[in-house]
Amino acid sequence: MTSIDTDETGLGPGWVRACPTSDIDIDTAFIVDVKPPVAVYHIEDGFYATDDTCSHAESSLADGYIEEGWVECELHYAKFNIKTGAVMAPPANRPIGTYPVQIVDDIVYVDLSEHRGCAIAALRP
Amino acid sequence: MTVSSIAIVGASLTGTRAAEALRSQGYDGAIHLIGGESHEPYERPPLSKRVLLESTAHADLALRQEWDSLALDLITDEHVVELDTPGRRVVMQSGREVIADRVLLATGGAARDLQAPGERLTGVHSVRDLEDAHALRAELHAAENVVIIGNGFIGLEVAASARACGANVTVVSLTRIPMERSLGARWGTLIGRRHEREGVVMRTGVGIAELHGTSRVTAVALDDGTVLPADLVIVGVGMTPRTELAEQIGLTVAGGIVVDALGATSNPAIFAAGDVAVQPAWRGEGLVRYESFHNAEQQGAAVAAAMLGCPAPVREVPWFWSDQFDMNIQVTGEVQSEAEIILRGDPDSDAFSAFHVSDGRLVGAFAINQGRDVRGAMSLIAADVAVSTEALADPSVDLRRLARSSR
Repeated sequence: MTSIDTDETGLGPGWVRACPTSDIDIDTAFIVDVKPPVAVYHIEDGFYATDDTCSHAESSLADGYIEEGWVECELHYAKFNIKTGAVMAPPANRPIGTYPVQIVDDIVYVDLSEHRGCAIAALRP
Repeated sequence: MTVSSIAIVGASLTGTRAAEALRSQGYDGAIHLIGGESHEPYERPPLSKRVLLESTAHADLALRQEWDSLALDLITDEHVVELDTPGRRVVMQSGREVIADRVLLATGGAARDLQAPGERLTGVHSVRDLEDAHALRAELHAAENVVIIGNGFIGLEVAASARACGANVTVVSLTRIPMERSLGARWGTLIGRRHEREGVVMRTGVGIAELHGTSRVTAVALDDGTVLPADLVIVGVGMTPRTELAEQIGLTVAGGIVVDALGATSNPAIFAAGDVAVQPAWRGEGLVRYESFHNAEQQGAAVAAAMLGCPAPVREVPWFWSDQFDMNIQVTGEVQSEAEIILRGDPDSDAFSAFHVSDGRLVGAFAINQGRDVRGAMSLIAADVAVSTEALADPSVDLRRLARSSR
């Protein structure tokens, strides 16, 4: 368990090391083992991080299906926008939080102190 | 004609999804979303599961967090009693009326009656809406002997919830194979065995003679003479589609409101979708009523396009899920035929998937705790391409990526 109060990475308090960029293939995700867990995704536009737990039911989004910048939970096929956390398909009704990501020397870092709740309830109208 | 006012009769998933799709297609006219319940639309799948086990507020289940952006005229606690199609009037029980150029009937269904003596006794429940689920939850945690009538997905989900509450549970059904309509014989049988492993007593191929009790139910008498003690009874013997309005105006009704693939009825101004609709089977012959979350969502979106005269979205392969005990059960496509089945994993284990193949093509899939495989199967079935049995059996092959590469 990483403490987010200390500056262990030199990037500032809250930043934790996730993994080397080469560990995450395109359209897959890596789980950062913190509580609650965080998913780091490698999509076409780069690396992004969100809460790993689906907002609808207890399921890991990193185990879901990733395509075109969205992730789909494998339990009930709720869909979220990876960059914004917004709901794109039910049965989820709440967005997932997102986190800032930095790449330094081919290592992915995530700022756990910057949990950004998603203000957009849905991309749907 | 220009469509400037649409009435949606039934404020649940289908109706909400249709309203959302109307807006996302650019429709900016009036939408009257009329529902019989006092709540804003909510999701029903948890009613037989989470809502029975935990304290759940309506807000947890609401289909949306906010409604303002849809600019709906959301009318709750109202029942539509008349459609005056020449006058375009939609008339409600209170006497309130709205004028509509298009009407979507998304009225769903009501729990089917058991039609056995004693079914009105206290302690006899069905599960269709949030009030039903809350009433059942209030009794479930203190119940010792629970009898569930019906072995479809509602019956089995409630059975799993009742076991989680520590009750003795018996499932009684006329049909021999659990969930056979959704899962086919092989997988229905397997799910039934899982329930027995969890301590549920399955009594199949037997009907109900009567329910005993003076004010509250005390026992269930079966037609083979068995009497099962019961302090709580849940009836899950299917639903009756609410077709009264459709019948009033002479639409074609046959076990549901008959629609085409786009949700159009025999009247050009009236559409129907969701649990109440009977539509052409996804592939193959005949008309089908799909009672699934997925169908409600998909058909709600498709019918919105049809009402506006826009091109319809591609119809997805039918898909269905049920959560029971620690099993996330998923099924897609056609799994009734057992001619050729390819397994990924051991069917006696906690997680496996099975692929139904016909003429070298994938036609259906079933899985327990392996939803990814079912999702991949949906794409492969839709693509209708030849699939090698080796790829299907190999857990390292991601089926959705395979489908993507075969496009």
